Amino acid sequence: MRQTAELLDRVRAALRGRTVAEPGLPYVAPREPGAPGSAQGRIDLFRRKFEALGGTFLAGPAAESVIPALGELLRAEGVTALFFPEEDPASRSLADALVPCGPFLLVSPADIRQAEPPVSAGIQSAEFAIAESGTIVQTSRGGTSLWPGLASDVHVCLLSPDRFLDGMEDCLEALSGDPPRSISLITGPSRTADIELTLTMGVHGPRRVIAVLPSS
Amino acid sequence: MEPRVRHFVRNSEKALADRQLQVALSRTTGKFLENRAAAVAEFPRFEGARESASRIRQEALDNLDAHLARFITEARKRGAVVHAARDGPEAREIAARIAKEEGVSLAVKSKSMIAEEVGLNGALEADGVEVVETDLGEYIIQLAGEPPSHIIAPAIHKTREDVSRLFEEKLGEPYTEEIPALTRIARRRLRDKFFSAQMGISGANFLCADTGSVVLVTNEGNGRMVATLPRVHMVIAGIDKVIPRLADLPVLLSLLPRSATGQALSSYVSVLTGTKRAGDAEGPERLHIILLDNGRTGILQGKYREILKCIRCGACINVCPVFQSVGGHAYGWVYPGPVGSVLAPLILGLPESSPLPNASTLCGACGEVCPVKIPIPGMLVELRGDEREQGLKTPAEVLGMKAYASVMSRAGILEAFQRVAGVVSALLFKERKIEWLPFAFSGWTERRDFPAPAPQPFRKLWKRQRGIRPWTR
Amino acid sequence: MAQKRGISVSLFSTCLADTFFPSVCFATVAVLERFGVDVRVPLSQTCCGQPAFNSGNRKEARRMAAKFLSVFQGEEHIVTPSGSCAAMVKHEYPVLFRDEPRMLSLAYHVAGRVFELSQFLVDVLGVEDPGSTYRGKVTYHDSCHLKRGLGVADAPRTLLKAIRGVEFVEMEESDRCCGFGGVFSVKYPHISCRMADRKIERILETGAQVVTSGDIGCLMNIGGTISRSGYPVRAVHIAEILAGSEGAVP
Repeated sequence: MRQTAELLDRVRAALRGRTVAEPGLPYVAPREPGAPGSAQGRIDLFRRKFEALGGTFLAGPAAESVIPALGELLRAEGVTALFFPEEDPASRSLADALVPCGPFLLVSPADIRQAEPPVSAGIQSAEFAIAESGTIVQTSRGGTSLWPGLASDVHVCLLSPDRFLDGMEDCLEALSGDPPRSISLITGPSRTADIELTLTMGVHGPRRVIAVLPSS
Repeated sequence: MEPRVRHFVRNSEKALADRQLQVALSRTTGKFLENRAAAVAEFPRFEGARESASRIRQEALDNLDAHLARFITEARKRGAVVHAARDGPEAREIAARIAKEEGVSLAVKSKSMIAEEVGLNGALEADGVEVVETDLGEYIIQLAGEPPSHIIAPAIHKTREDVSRLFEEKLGEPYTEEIPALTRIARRRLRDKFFSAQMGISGANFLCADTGSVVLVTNEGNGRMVATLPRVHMVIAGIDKVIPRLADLPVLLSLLPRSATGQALSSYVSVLTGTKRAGDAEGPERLHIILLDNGRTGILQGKYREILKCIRCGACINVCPVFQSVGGHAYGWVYPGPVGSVLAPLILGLPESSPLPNASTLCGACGEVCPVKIPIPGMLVELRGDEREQGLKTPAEVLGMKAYASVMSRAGILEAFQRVAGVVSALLFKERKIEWLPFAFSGWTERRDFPAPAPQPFRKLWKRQRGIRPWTR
Repeated sequence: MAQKRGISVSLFSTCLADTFFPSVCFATVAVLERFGVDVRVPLSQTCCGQPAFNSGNRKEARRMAAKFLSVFQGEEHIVTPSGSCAAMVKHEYPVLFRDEPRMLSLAYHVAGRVFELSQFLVDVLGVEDPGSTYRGKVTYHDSCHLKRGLGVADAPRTLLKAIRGVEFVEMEESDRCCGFGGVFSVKYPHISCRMADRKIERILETGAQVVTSGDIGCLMNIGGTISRSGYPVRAVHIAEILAGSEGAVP
């Protein structure tokens, strides 16, 4: 406490003991011209941005197209195990429906917590999807776990049409006042170019992100 | 990191002769600039965002007392323990004490320039704490025992063959030149560390005053890992990282990744507020935030306050033709390039850092790309002026300048010199070029010719041509 | 061609051109007179003080700046064949005199009247065709202070492309610093030469016979390196190309 008090004294002295100013209004940038006004517009923009980052966007009737397509993709990535957060019933149903497509094993997040886990897909309902940047938003609200997007090889994000927002400003506004412990803005897979500036995916996070928007 | 700034000339000569480094530099800075240019081109709001970002950062500094105080209060409200370190030694002491009190034997760390600045790792290691760098580039140079050569891509001077040999030697991994395979090795090795570490250490890209939040921006995802998995999270950040409001983040984030790597947005932006709450699935039980001064309050007070607006994007470094020629190690400190050339004198002192503000042609490229509009070239000239005032210039330079000013004080004196020079030149330099100059000026003629003075200066020829009498205009 | 426009210009010859390259000054005068400008040359001028200012020797810089302002105050247009000297007066004189209100206001007054040659021709006189002939493949180096300092990049190109006989070719990295930087070129010669080498590589890639620019320092650096190495390129000041009078003095 004493150290921080001293620090603040030094800062005040450096600013020549001016009186404390009230923080002003945020510098919100004007809206990108042509920002979508409609929910479908947002979904389309999100899809474009998300796919440009290497993400895969699957939309349509769940049983007929999304689930088989997703199963196919996961198999191609070598996924053998699926996990989802306990308190996320929508992810649970998706995982259950996917099992025969592999076949995949349902595991618990604890099973992934090892140095050399099975190749896994983490399935989770996304809290928001930001159209402007193709960003998935996960927060710790309601006991939501970060695990599926953190520790898996493939991150499967379950979306619904009401979750799409125009820009980051809207997302922060929705979470304003008292932010949860963690807000994670996920834009594409984990990546690095630290070796010879060559882009590689999947360092300390999933190497692939798949967004799923089932219509039924 | 032990500063070796005063050896800039020697180190830059070595760097110029290092062919491998030259290739790496050319490739990487070229790529960064190309990507940045593309990202800026597809972002019509770029100039407007720069202006907003500049104002946000200026506001934060001009009212740092209020915003910093608010940050501390809000962070504490949400469970953080906030410490203040006056300088490097104090920061190291605080960090070591925290590690001891929290019973830490293994810590995983995501990239932090500030931690480099104060030599954090060394202090913890001296106390028997194993500190593992998790940013791939940092992990590589940690294994190699080298300092970073660039603030965004610290291992950019190493080829894939270098990295393979390193992993083979230090980790016993089979040799492979495939970059994805090398990345998988690092992923596997570090995953184990993430799960077993008691403490995660990170810097902060921003500190939000109104919510007490710490913002981490990474592409690899190691920021979230170190801030979520271990029981303790330790953040070390300069007091200049404060921004007034969480809501200011989008503007700053629209510029930081674009300026650094040419991405519209980095893969992971984590806004972390406080410790694990009741009902949370994960999170650190303990959060320690160390706020570092280390000369920043001094900078805040003076005419260089604006340099603290820096958001550490690295654009000025990439665009600097001097950096492109000599690379990061030549600068001898954590912050190279233009921003380093201003920070080093201000934090390490002018005598130690004196080559840096002078090792610039003032070409202005840095000022042009800075996302928060820091007038770096003007600051470099100002620092050179400070050198003169503090008696740090060589007597030869001071005398030379005084002589030059005396000659230029009267047209008559200048003309007299020009006439002598002209006569000598006509006699000695028939080919109108000089191949050797003495003293300090020999630097020019080692590889270049210098023009010989004209036999008669313009003013004399003009007077003759226009029939102008000497005393008229 | 020589329409009397009633515009009078005071030539700011620059210490370098005055001493080393009088042909550049004569070329500048010739081009201006071609467009009916009345050119006078204040003979009491010496140096704008840039070498002192850039190296942080503010006392000497202020002395030279004060002299410059006394020589040129009251002049309507001040034209110089040097982007860096023009930038010095326009941008740095106000910095030099920031603590002296009287000098500061004089500095601002004069700053508003200083122009680099190509800038003056295109932006003030509205010239699109310099009316000269020059045979050869020419490439252009954007000097740092002219492009980033004064924002002048189109004017020289407009003029060069209109010259009969010129085959204009753009080089890559045309606005990358050539490594001169005044005192930098002798303080850090290895880095300076490396930067000059890179600039010359780009010039050679164009196959141009001539590289031109609006700054004498750049041309000395590039030209001096070319001269020592024997490359088949000439470094010529833009004023001389515009005048079609390379190297000529009366």
